[in-house]
Amino acid sequence: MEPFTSLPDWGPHWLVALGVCARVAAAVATGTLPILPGASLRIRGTLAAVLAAVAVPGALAAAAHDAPRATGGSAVGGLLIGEVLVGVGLGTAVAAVLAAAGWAGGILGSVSGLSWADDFDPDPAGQGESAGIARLARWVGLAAFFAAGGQLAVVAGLVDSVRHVPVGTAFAGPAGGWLETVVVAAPGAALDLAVLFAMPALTAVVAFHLAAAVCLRTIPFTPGHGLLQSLAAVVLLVALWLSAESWAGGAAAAMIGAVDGCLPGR
Amino acid sequence: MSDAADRTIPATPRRRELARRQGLAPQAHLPGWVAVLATTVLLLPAWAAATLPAATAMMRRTVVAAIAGAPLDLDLLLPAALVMPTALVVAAAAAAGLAVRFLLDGSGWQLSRAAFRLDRIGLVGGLSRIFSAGTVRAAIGNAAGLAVLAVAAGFAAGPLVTILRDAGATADPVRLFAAAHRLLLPLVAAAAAVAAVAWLLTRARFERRIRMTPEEYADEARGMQADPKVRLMRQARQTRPGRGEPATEGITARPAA
Repeated sequence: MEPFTSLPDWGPHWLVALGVCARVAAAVATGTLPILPGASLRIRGTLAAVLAAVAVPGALAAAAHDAPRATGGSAVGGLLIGEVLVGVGLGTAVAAVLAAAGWAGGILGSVSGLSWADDFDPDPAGQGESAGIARLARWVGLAAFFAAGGQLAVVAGLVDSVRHVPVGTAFAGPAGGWLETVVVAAPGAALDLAVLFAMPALTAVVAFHLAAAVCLRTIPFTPGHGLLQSLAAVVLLVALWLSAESWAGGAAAAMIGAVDGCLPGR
Repeated sequence: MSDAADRTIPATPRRRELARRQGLAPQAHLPGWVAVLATTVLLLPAWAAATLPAATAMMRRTVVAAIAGAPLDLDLLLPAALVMPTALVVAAAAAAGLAVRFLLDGSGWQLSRAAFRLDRIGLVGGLSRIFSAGTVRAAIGNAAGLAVLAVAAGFAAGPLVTILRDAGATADPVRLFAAAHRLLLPLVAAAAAVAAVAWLLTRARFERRIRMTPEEYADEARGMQADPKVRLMRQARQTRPGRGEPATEGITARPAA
């Protein structure tokens, strides 16, 4: 089979390399959002270039067996758009999984009252900033993820994706399991992780509120405004402190497992 | 005013009812509430086991019906498998609460007790109750009860703390809920004990407070004789065949002082 004979100007290798660059750039742009929220475009571009350089040989090897069938300029544009969509899908799946710890922190902050000021902030400019407890959970989760080598799983999954979903074949025929995984399984896994991460401390906070309700209904005692919320915040922080070590280890393992499940061929 | 040492005669039903209407009689609100709570907490696992699958199925069916554009019927929105266990738990809890209230407060339903009475309100009486030894005793008792409940909650929280420390993010939600439920059971038991002790103490204090002196007892007996309504009622009872009262008219039960 001679797949690239209709595009002599671009050449088959250049077309594959361009597709890999588009896919990796889109994946890095979306996937690194939770990891590097303030990173400059240069850092992201460099990271994407390095990953693309690593992925191109594998993509060329895969293209030898299952190559794209571009027949003109519009087809090249379509191929690039398809690769960008694949990259955005993969990056979003990884970003969703990595953001699960932050979502868990947001749930805990809302339930315990620590993030009510952020939840009801009328200033739309501050909507992008998460509550302190959510930020803490996000950084602890990411630290555990990196300490457990999770970034290797992400990089390996992204590089391997060009072999399991070759350039130009993502939308050429019936979409394989990768599309279903990226679109359906990844957000579900991320939400599942967020609830799972929040559950232990959430149970402690809810149990505290129930116990406080029983005590204060049995004993005629009226707490001052904010006392119960303050105690609930203390309970939450104690629960996080008690479970920090096991929580971080379990969160890292769960996130790496979810990343492996979200990336094709892992 | 009589000294407390002179109050040696238990209160008559009339005096008891008068005290009740004045709001002095203790009510078993707290034991009744604890009975409701205990029933609910005990039935909670069975209720969760019965309703959670139904709730999950209801959400799934509702979403599918919304996507498919199917009309929503009542069984889809409020399935019997969800409503019936909830209604049973509510009914059982209400029955337990009412049973405790009937047991401790009696079953006398009188609308006049619910009527608003201005004589219950008194500035001097209220201030004297606030600044009294009873307030100090109540504060000490409440602090002791709160300490008992806090200690019980602290001991009962052991399994939950163990799961938090050991399992972390990989904790099984079922084990977490079971630990939270195990936290509530001793706490409810402690609340029941505190409520029972508080009610018994309040009841004993009330009984001591409404005891009568011999002079008060004699005055009340004379007042009952002079009450034409009471006299008519007694005469009506005496005229009924087989249900006549002994001929106590005119006899004053004056106890030996």
